Amino acid sequence: VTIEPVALTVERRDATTIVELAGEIDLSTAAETKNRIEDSIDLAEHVVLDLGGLTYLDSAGLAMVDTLFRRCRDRSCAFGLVVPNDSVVRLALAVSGLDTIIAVHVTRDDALSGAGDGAPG
Amino acid sequence: LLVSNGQRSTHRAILLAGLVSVLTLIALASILGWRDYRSERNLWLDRARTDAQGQADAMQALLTSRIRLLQAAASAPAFRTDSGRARGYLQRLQRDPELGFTAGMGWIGTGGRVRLVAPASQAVAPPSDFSDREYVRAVLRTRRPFVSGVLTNLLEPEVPIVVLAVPTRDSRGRFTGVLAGGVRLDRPGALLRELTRYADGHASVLDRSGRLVSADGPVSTIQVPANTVLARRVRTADEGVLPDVDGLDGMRSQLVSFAHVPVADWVVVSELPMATTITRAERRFAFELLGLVIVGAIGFTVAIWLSQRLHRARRGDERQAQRWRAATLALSSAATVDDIRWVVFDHVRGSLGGDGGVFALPDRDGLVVHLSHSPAGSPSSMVVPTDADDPAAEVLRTGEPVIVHTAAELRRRFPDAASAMTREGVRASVIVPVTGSTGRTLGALGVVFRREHTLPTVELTFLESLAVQAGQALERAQLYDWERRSRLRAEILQDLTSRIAAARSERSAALALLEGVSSILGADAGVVLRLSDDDATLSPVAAIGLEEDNVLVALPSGGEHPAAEALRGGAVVAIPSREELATRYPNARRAARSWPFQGSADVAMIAGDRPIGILILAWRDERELDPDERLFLRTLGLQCAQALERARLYETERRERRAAERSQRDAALLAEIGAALDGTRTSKARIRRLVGALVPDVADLAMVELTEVDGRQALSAIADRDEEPTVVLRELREMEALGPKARDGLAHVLETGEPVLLPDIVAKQLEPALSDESERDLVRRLKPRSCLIVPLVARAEVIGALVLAVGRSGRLYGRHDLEFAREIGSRAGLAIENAQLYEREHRIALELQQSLLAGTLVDDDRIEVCASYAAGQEELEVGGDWHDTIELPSGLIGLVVGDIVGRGIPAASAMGQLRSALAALAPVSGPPSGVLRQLSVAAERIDGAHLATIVYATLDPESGLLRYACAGHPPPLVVPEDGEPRLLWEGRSTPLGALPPEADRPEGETRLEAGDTLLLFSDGLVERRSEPLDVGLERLRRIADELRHENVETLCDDLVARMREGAQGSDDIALLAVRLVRARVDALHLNVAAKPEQLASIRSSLRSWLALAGVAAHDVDEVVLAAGEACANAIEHAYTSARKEGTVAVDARFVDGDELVVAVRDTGHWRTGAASLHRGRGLGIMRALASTVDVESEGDGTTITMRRHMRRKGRA
Repeated sequence: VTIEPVALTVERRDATTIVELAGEIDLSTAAETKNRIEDSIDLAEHVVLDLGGLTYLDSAGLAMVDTLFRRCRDRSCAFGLVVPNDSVVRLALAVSGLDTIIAVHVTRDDALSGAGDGAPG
Repeated sequence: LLVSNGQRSTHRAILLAGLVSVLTLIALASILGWRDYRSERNLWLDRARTDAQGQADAMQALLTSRIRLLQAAASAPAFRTDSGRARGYLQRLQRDPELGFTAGMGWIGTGGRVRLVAPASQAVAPPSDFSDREYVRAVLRTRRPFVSGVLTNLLEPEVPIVVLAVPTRDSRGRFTGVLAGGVRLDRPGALLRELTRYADGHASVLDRSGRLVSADGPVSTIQVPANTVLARRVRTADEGVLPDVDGLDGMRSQLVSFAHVPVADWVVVSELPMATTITRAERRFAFELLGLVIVGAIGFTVAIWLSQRLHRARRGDERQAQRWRAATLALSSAATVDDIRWVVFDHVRGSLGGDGGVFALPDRDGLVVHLSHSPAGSPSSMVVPTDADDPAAEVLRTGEPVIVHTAAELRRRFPDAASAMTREGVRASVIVPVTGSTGRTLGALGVVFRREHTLPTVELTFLESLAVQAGQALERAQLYDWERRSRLRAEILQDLTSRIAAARSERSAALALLEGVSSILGADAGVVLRLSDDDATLSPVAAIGLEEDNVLVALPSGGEHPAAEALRGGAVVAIPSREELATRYPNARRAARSWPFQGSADVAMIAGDRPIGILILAWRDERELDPDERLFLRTLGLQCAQALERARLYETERRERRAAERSQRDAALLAEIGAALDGTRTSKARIRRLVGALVPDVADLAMVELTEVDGRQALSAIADRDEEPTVVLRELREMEALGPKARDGLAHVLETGEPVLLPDIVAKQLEPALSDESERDLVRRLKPRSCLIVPLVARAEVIGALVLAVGRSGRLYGRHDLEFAREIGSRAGLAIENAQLYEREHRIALELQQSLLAGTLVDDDRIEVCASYAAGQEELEVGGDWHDTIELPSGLIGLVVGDIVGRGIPAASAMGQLRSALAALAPVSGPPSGVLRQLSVAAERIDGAHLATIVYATLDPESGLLRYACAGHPPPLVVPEDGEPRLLWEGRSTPLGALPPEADRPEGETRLEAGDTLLLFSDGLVERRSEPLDVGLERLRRIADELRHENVETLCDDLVARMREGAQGSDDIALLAVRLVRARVDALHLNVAAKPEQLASIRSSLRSWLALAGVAAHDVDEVVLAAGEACANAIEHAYTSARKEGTVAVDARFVDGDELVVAVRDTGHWRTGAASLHRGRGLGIMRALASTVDVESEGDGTTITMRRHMRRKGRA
C-alpha cells in the first residue's frame, strides 16, 4: 500500500487564503502537511482551511489544526474550518471538542462570509 | 344538661358547706370542752396540793406551838432544883387539856434517869431509866427540842404515842435534863383535830419511819400504811401531787397530795378519790364529746336529707320539662301517622307511668283505636263505630277529656265497652281529644292503667299538651303524606311513561309498564293484553307474576268479564275479591275458581280515542282501590297506551325493515360468496374465500371442517373478525373454544347433515374449562354468544361443516340465519368438492413431475441453494419447466432453469432429455455462451425441445463472479443483501432452435457480493395473461426486495406464494435461488512494523474487513478512527522508545455476534508522563468512540483493548 500524500490546494482572495486539503492526515502526514500549510498562509489575514476532502483525520491531524489555529490567533489572523456535514472529520472535531474553540463552517461560502466573527475565544 | 350539671354542683357545694360547718362546730366545742377539762383537772391538782400543804403547815404550827409551850414550862423554876414542887407543876401541866399530853409527862435528868414523872394513869409504875429513849437521846445530844416518831407508851404499851421533848436549864442556864410530854394517838385530841381541819377527804400523817401518826383520825395501834410504795415515795419527796394512784390504805384511783412537817420530820398525806375529782371532769368531757358527735351526725344527716329532697324536687321539674321537650321534638320530626302514634305511646308509657297508650283516629269505617300494649304485650288495634259507647269515641264526639279512675266507674259509664277493656286489663284510663289547628277534633289519645289510678294534674296537663302537639303533627303528616303521594304518583307516572317510551318493542314496553305499576300498587301479578286489529280479541303481550298455567290465553273483547267492561267503559274496573268477581260476572265464575288471586283491576288503555288494550293487575289478597289509585290507573292507562302503541308501531316498522334488509343482504352475500368460490380452483383457496366472505358480515368467526373418505380432516379454514379480518389455515382448535355443545353439534352435523343452532352460549362458562391459553384468548376476544353449524353438502353427500359464531358484535343467530347458512352450506359444499376432485387429479400429475425433477442440488459451503417447482393450478397436465444445478470441474457451479413448450408427457420427456444433455455438456463446454451453443445443437435431435427457453449461468462461489446466458428465457434477478434487486438483461439470445444452432450466443457477466441472492425462474412466476411481462417482472423485483432478508427456502416459498396471489389461475413455476454465503469474517489479524507509514494500510485493511462484516459505513469511520488512534499511539511510542524494531499487532474480532473487540498491541512501555497533547486527545477519541477502553502494560508490551457493540447487516 502506498501512502498517498495529502493534496494541498491553495487559493488566495485578497487577504484571505483558502487551503483545501484532500487525503488522509495521520501521524505520518501531519507534520509535513502542517509545514506546507504554514508556508502558504504566511501573509494571510484570514485563513480558511477546507477539510472537506479529507477522509481521515486523527489526533495528530487535530493537533496540526490546533497548532495552525493558535499560530493564526497569535498574529491576529482570522481562522476558520470548512467541514461538510457528512464528513468523517466532523466526528473527530466533535469528539476532541476542537469545534468549540475553532469556528467550523459547513461550506466555504459560510466560512468566507463569517470571517468577521471567526475565531471565537 | 348544663342546668342539671350546675344544680348538681350547687347541691354538692351546699352539702360540703354543711359538712364543714358541722365539723368545725364539733371541733370548736371539743376544744372548749378539753380546755374546761384541763382547767378543772389543774384546779383539782392545785387544790390537792394546797390541801396537803395546808395540813402540813397547820401541823407544823401546832407542834411548834406545843414545843414553845413545853419550853415555857421547862423554863419554870420547878425543873431546876425543887423536885417536890416540880412534881405538882408537872402534874398540872400534864392535866392541862390545852397542852394535851395525854400520855403523861416526865423530867429526865442528864444521866437519863427520871427525876420527875407525871403519868397519865397510875396503873403501871413508870421505869426510872429513860436513857435509851429516842427523844431523850436526841435532846441530850442536841440540847434542842425534838418531836419523836410514833412510839409505844411505856406505861401502856399498846397505845401509840408521840413525844415532844425539850431541854431544861438551871438558872445559870446549865443543861439539867429533858422535859418530855407524850401525846396518845388513839384518842382525839387537839393535835389530831388540827390534823383534820383542812382535809376534804382522807388525810394521814406518817412519821419519819413510816408509821402512821394519824390515819384520818386516831390510830389505836402502831401501824404502817398498807401501800408501802406510796409511803416510801411521799417520805422521800418534798411535796407533790400524784393523780390516779392507789391510796395509802390500798384504795384504788386516788388523787394523793403530800407535804412535810419539818419540825417533826413527818409527812401529811391527803387523799381524794379520783372519781370525785378529775375523773368526774374527764367523764363530763367525754359525755360532752359524745353529745357533740351525736348532734353533728344528726345535723349532717338532716342536711343530706334536706338537700336530696331539694335536688329531687328540682330534678322532677327538670324531667318534666325534658319529657315535654322530648315529646315536642319527637312529634315535630314524626313524618307519618304511625310515627306520631309511636311517639305518643312512648311518652304516655314512659312519662306517665301508664301501662299502655291509646291512640284513636277516625277513618271510613269508624274509629280505629290502637292500644300500645295488650295483655300479651303486643300492640293491638280495633275499629269501633264513632257512635259507640267507648271512651275514645266519646272523646271524639264531645271533644272533652274522659277520665275513668276505677274499674267500677268504667263499668258504670261505659257498660258496653267495659268488658272488652277489662279483658285487656284496663282499670283506669285518661283519654283526651287531639285537636287540629281549626279546633276540629282529629282523634284521641290517652293512657290506660291496669291499676286504679288518679292522674296528677300536672300529668294530665302533660297529656293534654301532648295531644295538642300530636294534633299539629297529625295535620302536618296528613298534609305531607298527601303531597308526597301525589308527587310520587306524578313522578312515577312520568318515569314509567318515559321508560315505556324508551322501550324498543311492544313487549319490553309492556313489561316496563307492568313492573312499574305493580311495584307502585303492590300487585302480585299483571298482564298487558292488546286488542286485535279487528277489535275482536285481546291477546297477551306480556305478563309478570304468573305461573305458566295462568298465563292468559286470548280473551274475546266482548262479553261479560271485567276486561270487556273496562274496554267498553274506557275506565278502571276494580274487583276487590274473588267472591265479588263471581257475583258480578256469573259467567266468569268457573274461570275465577282457578284464578289464584283475590283483588284485581282492569284498566283500559286508550290511545287517542281508540282502546288498544287492557292492563290487568292482580293481588293475592283482597284489595280495594281507593279513588286516588283509580285515578292514577286511569291516567296511566291513557298515558301508557300511547307509548305502548308507539313501541308497537316502531317494532313493526323495524321488523319489516330488517326483514327487507336481510333478504337483500342475503341475496347479495350469496352472490358474493358464489363469485368468490368461482374465482379460485383449489379447495383451500375456496375455503379461505368462503370464510373471508362470511366474516364479518355474517359471522365473527367462521370455520370449515371437512370430512374425507378416511375420516375427519384436521385442516380447515378459519377467519375471525379481528381489526382486519384475516384468513388462515390452521387446525380446528377453535371448536374447543366454542364449548362442548358446539363440539357435539359439529359431530351431529357431520353425521346427519342436519344443521344445528346454538342460540345461547355463555362465554364466561366456556373460559374456565379451557386448558389452552390460545383457546381462552379466543374466547376472551370473541366472547361467543351464538353458534350455527350447517353441513357442506355436495351431490347429496355431507363433505364437511361450516361453523359460524357471533359474539363480540352483539348479534345472536336465529332461525332465519340458520336457513341462510344452510343455503351457503349447500353452495359452498359443491364448490369445495369440485375443487377437491380437481386437486386429487392434479396431485397425481405433480408427483410425476417431481419424479422427473428428482435429483440433488449442489452441496457447497459457499453457497445456499434452493429449488422449487410449483405446479400450475389450472392445468391437469404437467408442464415442461425444470431446474438443475451442476458442479463443474473448474470449481464453478452451473445453474439452469429451462422451459419446454407444451404440456403433458411429450413435454416432460423433452425436458428430461434436454436436462440430461445440458448436464452432460456443461462440464466440457466452457462458459455459458458455449454451453448454450452446444445445447442448441443437441436440441436439434430432441423432439419437443424446439423453442425451449433456457437460462444457464456459472457462478464462482469464491469471487462471486457470475457469467450467464439466456436463450429466450426471462432474465435472472440478483437480489443484493443491500440495495435494489436488479434484472440481468445481458447475454440474451433467441430460444433454442429459433436460430441456426451454431450461431454465437452472447453472455453477460456480473459479480455477486456476499449475501446476494441470484434467482433463476421460469415465466410462470412472472407471467399473467392479462398483463405485460414487465409488470410481472416489476412485481417480482418488489416482492423479492421485501423478502431479501429471508433465508433462501423461505424466500422461494413466499416468493411463489405471493407472486401467485390474486392471479387468475397460474402456470407451472420452476425457481432456483442461489445465495452467495458471506465469508467467515468474524476476525481480522494484522501484524505490521511499527512505522507511521503503516497506518494507512492498517486503516485500509480494517475498513474492508468491517464492511465485509456488515458494519455500516458511518460506524466503520468511527471504528477506524478509534483503532487508528490506538495504532498511532503504539507506533509513536515505538518511535520514542529505545527499541526501534517494534511491531504493532491489530486483532479485531466479533464476540457473541455483535460485540466488536479491537486489540492493538505494541512492544514497549508507555510513558504517560511523556504523552504529548495530541496523544491525550487520541485517548479521548478512543474513549468517546468505544464502550470500554482498557490499557494494559505487561512485560515487553502494552495492549489497548476497545470494545463496542455494533449493528451488523445481514444478521437480524
